[in-house]
Amino acid sequence: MRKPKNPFKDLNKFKIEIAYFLKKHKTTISSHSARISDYFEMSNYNSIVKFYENNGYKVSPKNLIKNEFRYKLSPAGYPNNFSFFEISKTYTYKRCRKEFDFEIHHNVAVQSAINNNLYVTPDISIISKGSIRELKDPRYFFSGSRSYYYVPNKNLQTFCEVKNFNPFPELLFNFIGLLQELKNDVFNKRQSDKNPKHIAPSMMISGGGNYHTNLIRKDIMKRYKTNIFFGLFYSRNQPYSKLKMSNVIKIGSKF
Amino acid sequence: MIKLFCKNLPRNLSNLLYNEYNSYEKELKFLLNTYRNRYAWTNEIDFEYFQIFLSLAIFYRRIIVQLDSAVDFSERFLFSKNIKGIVIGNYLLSKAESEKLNTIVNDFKLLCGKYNISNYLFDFENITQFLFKFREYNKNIGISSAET
Repeated sequence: MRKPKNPFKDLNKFKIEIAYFLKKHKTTISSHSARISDYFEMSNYNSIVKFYENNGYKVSPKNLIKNEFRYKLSPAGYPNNFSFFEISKTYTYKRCRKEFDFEIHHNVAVQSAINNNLYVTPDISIISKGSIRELKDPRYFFSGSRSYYYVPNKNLQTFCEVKNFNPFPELLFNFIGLLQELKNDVFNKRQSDKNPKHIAPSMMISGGGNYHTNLIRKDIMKRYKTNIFFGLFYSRNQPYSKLKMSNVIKIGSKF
Repeated sequence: MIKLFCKNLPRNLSNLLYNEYNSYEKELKFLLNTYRNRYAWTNEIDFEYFQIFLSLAIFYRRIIVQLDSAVDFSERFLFSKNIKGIVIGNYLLSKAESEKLNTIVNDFKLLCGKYNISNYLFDFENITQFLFKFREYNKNIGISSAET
């Protein structure tokens, strides 16, 4: 194996190598810099898709537009104009083999579990197939002429929230609010245990935590069926790695 | 050094990098001046090294990781004949473009690998943690580069 260079021996050489790297790639880096925060969310969306792949689901991209996968960047826009992944798994259900189909969407509004008139948009939602509904109430839009698309709460299987931050206590506890609003069955222990299984509601954070935030993380995960992933910057495979799969908390499907 | 990293970035992104760097550097200077005994080991190291490693870490966290994420997602489609690329807003991330991003990520990893810098060094939450990891790196690189 090649002996590693010691930067402390020749500072100038080290600086020249860095400068060469930056000069070589300056055009590409500069042209992608405007989209850089979208890329982190995309990676987490992909991690969730990989979680299902590694748990025996069949995965296929759907609603490709002109042979392109159209990624939904923000809550704005009609879901039917964007692509998503469909996942399916076959199980024995009531003594018959049955295929269960779900969809993995990004930035789709979901109805609150507490009040039917409230909606919130988690970053990633796993929903029952074909469950997006249209709400024809102009008051939900400033323009008054658009439709509002949402997923009824009963069709939400699970959701994930992505944060490109270093974890801090308030951020972690805020997640409980979202959990309460969208998956409050996790609170009252009525959570389904039926197959096929899904990843439990998860918070995916880019930064690694310190001692205190790790304590909070473990405590929240002990209280409710949730996953809180830290340090996805340097350990991206936590949600889907087959080796770490036993650490990922799972919940049952809702029918 | 941070200026070199920010040179070709749009203003909003370069400001983000500058601000992060400046706050870490300010904190670092304060720590090294206030707790001279605790950080006596830093006396032998040129301050410019701290500046370079801080800049590298910030650049890695803000830019390289994000580009790597894009590559990770687009790899799913690279081998599919039916899918031309990924549309993000008005932008098409084509296979060719994704390969360019992959080259950047790989070149950065090569550069770090040459100096045995792992991304563990770049993951810190505060400057004390950075100093702890930097000290470990400094010790280890001294040993591994002296090995024959």
